[in-house]
Amino acid sequence: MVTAARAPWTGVRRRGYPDRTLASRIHASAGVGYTPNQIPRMTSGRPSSTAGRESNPSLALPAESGLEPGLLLFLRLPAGWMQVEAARVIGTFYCQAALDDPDLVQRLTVIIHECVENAVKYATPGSTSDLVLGIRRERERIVVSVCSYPDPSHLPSLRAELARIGSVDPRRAFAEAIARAAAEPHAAARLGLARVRHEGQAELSLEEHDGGMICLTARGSP
Amino acid sequence: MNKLESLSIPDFGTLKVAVTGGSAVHLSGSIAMKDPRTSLTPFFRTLHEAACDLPAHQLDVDVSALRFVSSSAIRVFLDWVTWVQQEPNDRRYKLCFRTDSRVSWQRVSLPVLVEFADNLVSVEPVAEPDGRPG
Repeated sequence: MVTAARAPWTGVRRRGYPDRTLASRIHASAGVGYTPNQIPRMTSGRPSSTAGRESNPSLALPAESGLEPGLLLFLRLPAGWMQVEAARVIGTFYCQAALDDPDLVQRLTVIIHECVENAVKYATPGSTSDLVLGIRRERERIVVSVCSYPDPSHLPSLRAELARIGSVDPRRAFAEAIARAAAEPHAAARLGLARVRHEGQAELSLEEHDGGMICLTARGSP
Repeated sequence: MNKLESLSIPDFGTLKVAVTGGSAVHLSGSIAMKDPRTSLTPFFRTLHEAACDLPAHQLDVDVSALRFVSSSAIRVFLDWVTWVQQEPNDRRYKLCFRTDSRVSWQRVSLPVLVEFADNLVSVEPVAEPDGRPG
């Protein structure tokens, strides 16, 4: 377990199954959306029916919807490789529509790609579980969350990696990741999360939930 | 025609490759494929071998139109740099990445790769953040 003393920015917490509490924080406020009663649960099965989804082209949610106005996008996808590109393309599209800042959109594109790729790469082998990508505004920040069901054997190395890259400044962490990858040419590169901190200018945190689900969250700078 | 110009360029999907002037390679599009190391390494290795024989001992790699790369693709560029480092002095060449500073990975992440081997790799912007030519 990552401790606050070693990696103060890494908020590894254990919670109960997030159920609708989690899902209600991550949903679409643009394009395809859900009403509060139709917010999907994170389950380990195949994606639920798309019936009940409503078209909601407005970025601003009406107050009576009960949905958080800062939410930009919710995507629930099978944890397969094709979905990495889908998540990046759709995420970039919505960020471009919602944010008038091309540089921020590029940074978010990197964050989306690397976090979703990480979730897909380390998904439980043979699993048909979904992953959820959520993008929302949180005060001045844009927050990207990817919730997934990783192979449990991957978790210790993910915790260690987050602690390692969080213990130094982002540029140095990325430089060290580059040096490590060069020194170990046959090992996995593990550049992605260090790049999220450095190029994405985001702080990373990990939430672990009962049932094996984790949420990797990147809080981007304004 | 040198070895570089006579290279046969495979179809990499979203990544487009062109060789011009006998000592310049242009990469454009994006690299976001599942395993770019498997897909790209054989061709990049051939490029590297051809560059070792360049009389000017410099290869310009124009990535200014390469809009997105995954971290796995950055690993492929890192492999390329280490190949150059591992060559004997008389076969080494300088890798000069020509970049667009408006593209975040070129402005933010590529310089870190350059620091790793700054005697052999350089970054030269062909466009500045305000769009002016570099």
